[in-house]
Amino acid sequence: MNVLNLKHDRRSAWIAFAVLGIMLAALPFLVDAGLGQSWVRILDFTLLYVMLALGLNIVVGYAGLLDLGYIAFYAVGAYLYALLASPHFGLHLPFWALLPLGALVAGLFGVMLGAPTLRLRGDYLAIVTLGFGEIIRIFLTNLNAPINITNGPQGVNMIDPISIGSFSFNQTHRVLDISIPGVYNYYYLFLALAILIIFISLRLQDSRIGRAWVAIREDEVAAEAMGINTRNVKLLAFAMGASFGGISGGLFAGFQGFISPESFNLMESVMILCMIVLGGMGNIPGVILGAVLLTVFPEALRYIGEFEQYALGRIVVDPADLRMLIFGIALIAIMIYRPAGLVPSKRRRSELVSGPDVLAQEQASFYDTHK
Amino acid sequence: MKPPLLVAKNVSKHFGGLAALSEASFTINPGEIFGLIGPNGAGKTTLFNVLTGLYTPTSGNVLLNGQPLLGLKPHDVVRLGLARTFQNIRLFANMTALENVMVGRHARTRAGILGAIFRGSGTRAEEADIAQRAHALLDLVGIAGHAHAFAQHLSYGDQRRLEIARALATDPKLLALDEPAAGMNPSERAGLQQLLEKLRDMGLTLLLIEHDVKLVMGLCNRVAVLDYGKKIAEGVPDDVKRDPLVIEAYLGGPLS
Amino acid sequence: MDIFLQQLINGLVLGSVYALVALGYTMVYGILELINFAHGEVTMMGAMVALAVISALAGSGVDLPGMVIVLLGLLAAIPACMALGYAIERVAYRPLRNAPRLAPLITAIGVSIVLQNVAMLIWGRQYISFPPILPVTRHEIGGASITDLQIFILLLSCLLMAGLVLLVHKTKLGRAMRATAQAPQIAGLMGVNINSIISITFILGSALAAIAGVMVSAYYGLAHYYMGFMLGLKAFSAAVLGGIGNIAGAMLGGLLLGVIESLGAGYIGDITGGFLGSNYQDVFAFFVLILVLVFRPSGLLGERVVERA
Repeated sequence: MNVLNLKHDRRSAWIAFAVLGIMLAALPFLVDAGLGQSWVRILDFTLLYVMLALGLNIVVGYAGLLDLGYIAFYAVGAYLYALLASPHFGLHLPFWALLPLGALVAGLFGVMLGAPTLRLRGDYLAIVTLGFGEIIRIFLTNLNAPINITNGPQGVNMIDPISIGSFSFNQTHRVLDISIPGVYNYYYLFLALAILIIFISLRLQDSRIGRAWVAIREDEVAAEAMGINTRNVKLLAFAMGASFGGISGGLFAGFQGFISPESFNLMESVMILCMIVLGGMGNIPGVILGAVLLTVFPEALRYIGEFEQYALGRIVVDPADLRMLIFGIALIAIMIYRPAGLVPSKRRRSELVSGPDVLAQEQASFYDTHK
Repeated sequence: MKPPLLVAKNVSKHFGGLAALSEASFTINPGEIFGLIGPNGAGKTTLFNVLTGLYTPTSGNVLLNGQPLLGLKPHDVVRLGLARTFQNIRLFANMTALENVMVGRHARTRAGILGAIFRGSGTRAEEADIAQRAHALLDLVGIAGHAHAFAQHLSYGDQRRLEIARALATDPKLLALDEPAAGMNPSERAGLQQLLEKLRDMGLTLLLIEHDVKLVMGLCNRVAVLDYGKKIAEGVPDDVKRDPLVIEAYLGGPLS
Repeated sequence: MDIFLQQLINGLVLGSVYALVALGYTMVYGILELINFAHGEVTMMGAMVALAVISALAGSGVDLPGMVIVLLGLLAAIPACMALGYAIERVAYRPLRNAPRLAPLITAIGVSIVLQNVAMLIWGRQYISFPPILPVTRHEIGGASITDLQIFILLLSCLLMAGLVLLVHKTKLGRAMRATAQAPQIAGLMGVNINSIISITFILGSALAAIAGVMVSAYYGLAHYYMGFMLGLKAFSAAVLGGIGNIAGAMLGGLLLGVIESLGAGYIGDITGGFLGSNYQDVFAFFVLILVLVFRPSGLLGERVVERA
């Protein structure tokens, strides 16, 4: 490759990033203008789900541990925030303390819930983690008597909005004569944290621990025989994934202002799994795409309802009911026809494709182009 | 005479009523290639699995460099200096050859989650070292050109070499190879013999399970013979070859 | 001892239903090493289909005894579930027979979701009541009572389980099933049509599930599109408790789990000094599952598996 070309590549990469940055910064304004402020709120939720999907991606995508109870960590983060920043106990800790605390506590839960599963094989692991998720939900729903810890099925409300000093994210502020409403504030906050989490995911992928995770996923016995302490490394995966969930949970609580156990059910765990399966497991751009598609899609379904109303004068099939049905069909179809996802990582493609011509292709490219 | 590298005493492994290993004892000296032979089902791979921590022994003890080996988890066995390859090749199929060898460095490196995230100078130096050593090992075993190919796409002979490179990455004092020549044609076999001799010349000690008698006789300094879980002979190949118990085990009866 | 006998009876009745459903899980796992996540939903479908028929007949004023109406419901539900079980295997599992294990697990979740939502779309989100057409005679035994329905459930379950054991151990088909479970390729080489055996396994399990579904809805007096989830999870826990892949284990596990759950719900208030109540009942099955998998993953009657290098 020409040295000149290399420089040119670097420069175009920077330009691409700059353009992307400007688009992301302008996005809430564009969306608001085009689709309305409710869609900016949807954008905020999309970012939360991107963070969740990236967290689950570490457990399922990198380490290959099928966790069906992941939403429990989201719940831990949310409830921690809610209980320590609301009238419920009368505590009002600041968010910059609660988020790291949420990450830490969720991480601990990750270790706790992961520890009994370490010797289990894929399908059993899935069922046990599912059980854990349900147990947490049941406890959250019932720990309101005899001592009221979680306020039971009613959940916790009047949660403090996120604020830094006197800057409350809920309020509209004026900057340079432009009015920036609350949902925009949250967008920028979530975007910053999502970028942080993407960065951490990238770093983890390309590291000694990241390789150990893939090795465990490929062949756990061989990984152990090559010196990897599989127990600890698996627990690390649970802890890291859980901590991302804990952070998103805290943000969710502050953003929405109220939470209840019903938001943290099995279908949510399945949805997040769907996002990474659909997008491409283990692959960061794929996972982000999956998260975006699956958060936006149900909202788009509402328009079907409006269309039905318009075309037929009444709602024949409530689109909300169709949402999960379509998910289920999509899950089956993807696993049968495109199991590597929409944007498969090279590794996943390798799992499906094999043959001598592939080897020749890889030998031809001398530069490290994968990942 | 240097002290022995590995001393195994009365190692037994029972599966229910079946004695896969029965009071097996032997010694491996540093810098030698030690062969473990015997008919099929004699307990050779079982012995490997006991040594490397995959099975818990029923009784016995083993010292590697004076340190007790039995009962350790496999990853601790690697730390102590014993690495292995598998009879059925267990590579990380969807990782490249280079990545496979890099994984082998895991036990000798330290970077954790914080190192991965912050990538300070220590971590970066460690990563560079890992990559460099991995390239060197691929070169040593002769597959440097396939560094970026996925392991499952390599030819059978190259896969066996890759497994050896990966095991070498753990910086072992004793390298245990489970039938490394299985399925190889004569020229591949000759290449393997060359590689193993090179490793011995570099100061490594090798423990070898092999069926190819010619390879074993030509390569090994000393040999132990297992039959039905018991060790029936130990010594230099020429002596063992003539041992009547060994002949009986392989041929089913004494030569008349 | 006041509630012990009553809870025991309730537990055995509940347990025999769990056993019937657990059999479906264990048979499929024995042959395919796959957890048929959708099995709970098949049970639900059995209940819903039967209930649709039963409600229609009961409401139409036809003069038939309650038991006959229920029987007619069963006659509708059983073939429906058998067809459903067969379809699920063909559409969602067979294409993935050689895929990494993650794939059929995810598809199974997908099937489960699809079935739940189809049921919801057809029959709505509300609880559907079982028409009060069955006699509610109670019999007193030593301070506890047992209803006709409970006796019927116990008897029918025993019969079905005995029938299955006979099938598996005394018939040619059963022999083929056992062979396929132990060594599918070799069984194939011996002339067993593996695909047929697998389909039959699913069909049998689904038939049992249909009957179990009707029993559950008759016992609790209602059915609901979401009822399969918990029931399936508990039945699966029962199968694991007994030793997954082991038919006797599924029966034992089912009965045990029912009794544990019933006694637990009855006594948990006393044991925890009022801190936890019977609203934690669902948690028992999960705890049993987790404890078994951590401490004795092969279950009570299963064989220990050693991984060979």
